[in-house]
Amino acid sequence: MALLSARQVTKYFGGLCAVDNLDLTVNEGEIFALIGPNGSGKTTFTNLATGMMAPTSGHIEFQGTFVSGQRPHIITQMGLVRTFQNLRIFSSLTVLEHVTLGHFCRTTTRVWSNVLRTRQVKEEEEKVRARAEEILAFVGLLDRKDWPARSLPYGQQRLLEIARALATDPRMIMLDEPAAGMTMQESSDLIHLIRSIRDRGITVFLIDHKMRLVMNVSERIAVLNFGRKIAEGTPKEIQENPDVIEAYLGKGRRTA
Amino acid sequence: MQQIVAGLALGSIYGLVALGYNFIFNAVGIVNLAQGDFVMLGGYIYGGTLTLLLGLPFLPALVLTAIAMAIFGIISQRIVYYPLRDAHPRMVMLSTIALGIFLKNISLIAWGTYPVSVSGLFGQRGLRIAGVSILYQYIFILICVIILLAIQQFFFKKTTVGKSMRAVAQDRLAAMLMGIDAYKMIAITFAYSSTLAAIGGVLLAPVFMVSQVLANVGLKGFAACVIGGWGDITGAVIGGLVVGLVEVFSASYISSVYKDAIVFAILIGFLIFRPQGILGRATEVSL
Amino acid sequence: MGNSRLRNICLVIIFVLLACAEPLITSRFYKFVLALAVINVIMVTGLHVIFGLTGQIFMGMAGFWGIGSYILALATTKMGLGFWPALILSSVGVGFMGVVLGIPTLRLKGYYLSITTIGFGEITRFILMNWSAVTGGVFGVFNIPRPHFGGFVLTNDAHFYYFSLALAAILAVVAAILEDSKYGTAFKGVRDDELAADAIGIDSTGIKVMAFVTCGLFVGIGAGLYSSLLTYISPEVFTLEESFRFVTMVLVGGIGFLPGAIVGAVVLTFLPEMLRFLQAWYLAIYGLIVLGIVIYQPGGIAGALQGFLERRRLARGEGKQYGTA
Repeated sequence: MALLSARQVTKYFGGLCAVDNLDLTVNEGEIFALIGPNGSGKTTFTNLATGMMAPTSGHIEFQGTFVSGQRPHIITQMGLVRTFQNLRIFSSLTVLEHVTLGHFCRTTTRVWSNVLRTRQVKEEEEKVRARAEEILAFVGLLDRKDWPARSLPYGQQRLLEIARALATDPRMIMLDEPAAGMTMQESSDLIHLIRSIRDRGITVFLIDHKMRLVMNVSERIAVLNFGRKIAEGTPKEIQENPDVIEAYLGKGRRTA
Repeated sequence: MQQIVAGLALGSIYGLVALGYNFIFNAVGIVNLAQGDFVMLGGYIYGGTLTLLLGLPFLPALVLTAIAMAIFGIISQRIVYYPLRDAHPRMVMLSTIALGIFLKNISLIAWGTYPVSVSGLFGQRGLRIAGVSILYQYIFILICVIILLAIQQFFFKKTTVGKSMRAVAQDRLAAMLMGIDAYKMIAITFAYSSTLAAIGGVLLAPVFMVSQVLANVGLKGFAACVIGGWGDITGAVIGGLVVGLVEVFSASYISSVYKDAIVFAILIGFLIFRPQGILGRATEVSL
Repeated sequence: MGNSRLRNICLVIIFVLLACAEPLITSRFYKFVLALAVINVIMVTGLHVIFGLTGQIFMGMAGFWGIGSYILALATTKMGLGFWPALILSSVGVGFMGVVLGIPTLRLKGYYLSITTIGFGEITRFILMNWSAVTGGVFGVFNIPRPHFGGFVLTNDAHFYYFSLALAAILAVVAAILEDSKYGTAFKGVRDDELAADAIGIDSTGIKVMAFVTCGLFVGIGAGLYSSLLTYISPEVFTLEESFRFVTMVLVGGIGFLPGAIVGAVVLTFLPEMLRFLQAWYLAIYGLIVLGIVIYQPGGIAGALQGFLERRRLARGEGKQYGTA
């Protein structure tokens, strides 16, 4: 069943076409990867799907509802969350606070009860905290929970972004180059993490150009080049596709 | 007719100030909120010191003021922007406001609390056409601004420094990769935009008196930027003219007490309903 | 949590010191300045929420302050309301201004927001000055009553001072609780990275409006007390320079650290009065000091304090708990 579908999505920046008439369907429960050389429009598509930009034409549906042009926080509340290619960590918050803040949009107590510190507020705080710790344990950051997030090493900041996104209780998570800046060890751990995110029932939309990661973990792959989809299929099909080899390897970009 | 000429003349000055904002904004992505105080300082150096105290004639006084303000621009760039170039823009904003407060009060100390009146080249004489009188100063302002814009156009299109400044304004990183010394260009940009402010101050000195109130021109210039669309050179000039006309007409038809409030109200209206300005480039400005 | 404990300790120390200060000051004039300082503490606590915690440079404090002062002044002298309902009215009224001004403007970022709020402050002053039929124009409003408890009226300046101090303490506690709640985390998240906050489902505009309204409610109370302390108000007080002075209070104290902002408020209330003999030099020096803080000590008092504690811990050989502080 289609969870996210893009129909004829086009985005222009001035005269430049970043995404060109893109059709894309991601099914519930799969690990889907969008790959392509730098500047091929992958991140732009993420921005369009999560409401950070509006498409020039075409539309994107999530769970059968239009999301293109909707405001970002509404889309996240609908269950579509993203991480950022260039890390966006809250510089003054601790690791734990990042994750509890991720759950903010699912909490219900109002501001006045928070000032009066009612019983519901205390119970809610306890629940949110337990849940945040569970998610931190899941990504392997629980022992760092009281660290200021900005003092984490780079690879762990990426994990923290994933944890923060998971705390919003998404149905689908878009990971924008999660392995960028990670060590070999970290990125092979990431493969396990991505699989176990899916095993929690969350559909994974992966954007990367690290072939080892993508080919290992994804079930279906779409390839973008100059904003246009040039291929779609299983990792094996993609590896054998002459257009992809042309776009990727033909231009000297040897990513094994 | 009188009002139109007066509005256009004032507006062209606001346009100059707006250009000053825009050059700096394009080069380093910050707004120099002390721009209006630069105008005031230019007015004081010209009116208070060079003409009144030293008795220099118009042209040498203008050139000296421009040079002094260019140097001042480079110094203030060094103090207000350079140490904070990697900090949050919030901090640069506060530092420019602080610089503005400093300048306002240092000018009180240097030139006193009484407004300095400058007679200008033409005094209060004016051109009489069909029963209406138009001050020569206004016509002079318009001519000066037009000449200045022509020089500027030449400078940016034909000279190497001008082209480098434009390159830095468009993409600082790319310009640096191409071997342009971006920080030098930024310093020159500050120098140029304070020169614009200085010329604004010199030309306005005979119209208003020179006092701390002259710094309010900074706000009008900001309004001009917003109305014309940020970062847009043509827009800045058009925005300036709009603000000038609005000011003059609201002073004569509504109330001179409320003229600044009306400019503010229009500014706020634009910020809220049409932040991209009248020319309406669809670029999303994230200030 | 280390930071909120440090904050609470500092708050207790500051309020105890403020309580002890009143009898120690002998000059009647400085007693009055001290009362003003406490009123500024209340207002800066409001600004702390929108600027310190949420990161929005609000340059229209004079507007909020002016509106709050006039609401209490007019409600008591012209509408015949008692002090208490009038104080509530001025708090709620300024809070409501937060909604009116906040919903359209808080989508604006950085400079746009600041300039819009400067405009709001200036327009407010124009209206207070020129809408003479209601505001009394440049002459202002006279005979504003002092607070009362039953029949007991706080005409005594010392009584008024302790009453204001108690209110300031209560409001500081409210602000501290709010800061430690999930909303406080959300404020800081919006301050640090608005887009990232949006991306995790936080309505950052909504959060900013909430912070703005909280600011308004607090400033309304401080402004009402201001009218009542002076018993006479006029519009020329509520200038842009005053708005900037409030922003500076937060800055001096360290953005996001409530005790810092409170110390900033006290210092910046006394400093102008004590340096009055410097006349124009005072403001010029003041501009330089702000410039110096922004460039060399952007963390303000709080940054200096934290740096000091950090160094002491290192000196005691405890080492750093984590990479960088």
